[in-house]
Amino acid sequence: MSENQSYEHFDESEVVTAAQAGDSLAFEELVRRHGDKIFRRALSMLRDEDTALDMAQMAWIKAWKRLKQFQGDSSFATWMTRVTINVCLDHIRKMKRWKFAESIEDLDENSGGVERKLPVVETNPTEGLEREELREKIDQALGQLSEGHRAVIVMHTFEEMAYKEIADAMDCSIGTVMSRLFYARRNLASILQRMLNEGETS
Amino acid sequence: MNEALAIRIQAYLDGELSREASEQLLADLDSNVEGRELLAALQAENALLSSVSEKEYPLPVVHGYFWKGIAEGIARETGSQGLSHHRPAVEPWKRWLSWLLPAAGAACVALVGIQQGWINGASGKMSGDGDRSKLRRAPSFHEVDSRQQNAGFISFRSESEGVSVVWISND
Repeated sequence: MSENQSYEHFDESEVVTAAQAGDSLAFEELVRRHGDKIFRRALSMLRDEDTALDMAQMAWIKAWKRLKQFQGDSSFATWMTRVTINVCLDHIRKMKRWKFAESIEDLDENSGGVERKLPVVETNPTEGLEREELREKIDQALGQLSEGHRAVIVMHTFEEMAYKEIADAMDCSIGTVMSRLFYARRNLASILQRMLNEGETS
Repeated sequence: MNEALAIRIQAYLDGELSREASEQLLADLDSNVEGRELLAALQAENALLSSVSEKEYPLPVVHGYFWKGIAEGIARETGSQGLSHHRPAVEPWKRWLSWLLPAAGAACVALVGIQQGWINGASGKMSGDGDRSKLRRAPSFHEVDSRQQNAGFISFRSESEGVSVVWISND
């Protein structure tokens, strides 16, 4: 048994406590356990493998420095994911790549209006699709969103963060979150609808 | 579509409206076909997204490489407090304790051994068998080499003590 495996069979809380006390082996065990999830979250927000890898590592470095702030109010994975989201948002801000449709006028100008973005709901467009195929299409549709829209969708839909939490993370008002989330969803529905229609005709 | 109404519908679906605000919204939608269509569209979208889990993306590099980058980053950001594979520094009193306890244990064993020797010695005297007791505890010397006619020395080897003794003769 190598020394790296020394915390392999420990409970999460024991590993976290040891890491908080400065045990690097315990911290490495946390990286081993949650590395995939943290990378996936970074990739879902940034959509670039190299950048996501860098930001995931950055998130772990920040986590090490702030580990004593983790009080166990949530699971370690949830806390770590929040750290990762903040690192990714910082990166996006630094890259100055926010491309939000802040108002309904912007959306009308850019995409042809909110009404045309509403998916057809009389029939289920995803009926007949295999689960894996559907997952793939949703993933592709998320990839076509702007970083800002994708970030808000990821935080709300996949991380189940409340409006207030998202507002804190994005450093904006709850009203702005509501607006961004609405247009992000409309965009996602529109992209998904188009992809599914293209799939039917091809 | 009224933007404020659209966002209220979304907030209702997300469970972010109060009970009173929710009831007010539903009352407003009674007479608003467009609003009801939007509600249905958002519900369908929510159901769609929640019906499938996110696509899995495993870490594209091996753990060792990934960890090395983290460890180097921590070393860079924390200066001399870099991350290496070690347990945290222990408190000074714990460090004392770490050698004090084994030392105390060894001392106990030694004391027991000495005490046992005294008891054996005392029991020998008490039984009047002191000479036999001394003989038992005396090193068992035996000759391992014989006198050499021209060399002028005698050597002894004690197996129990693990020593050899050599007498050199001036003759």
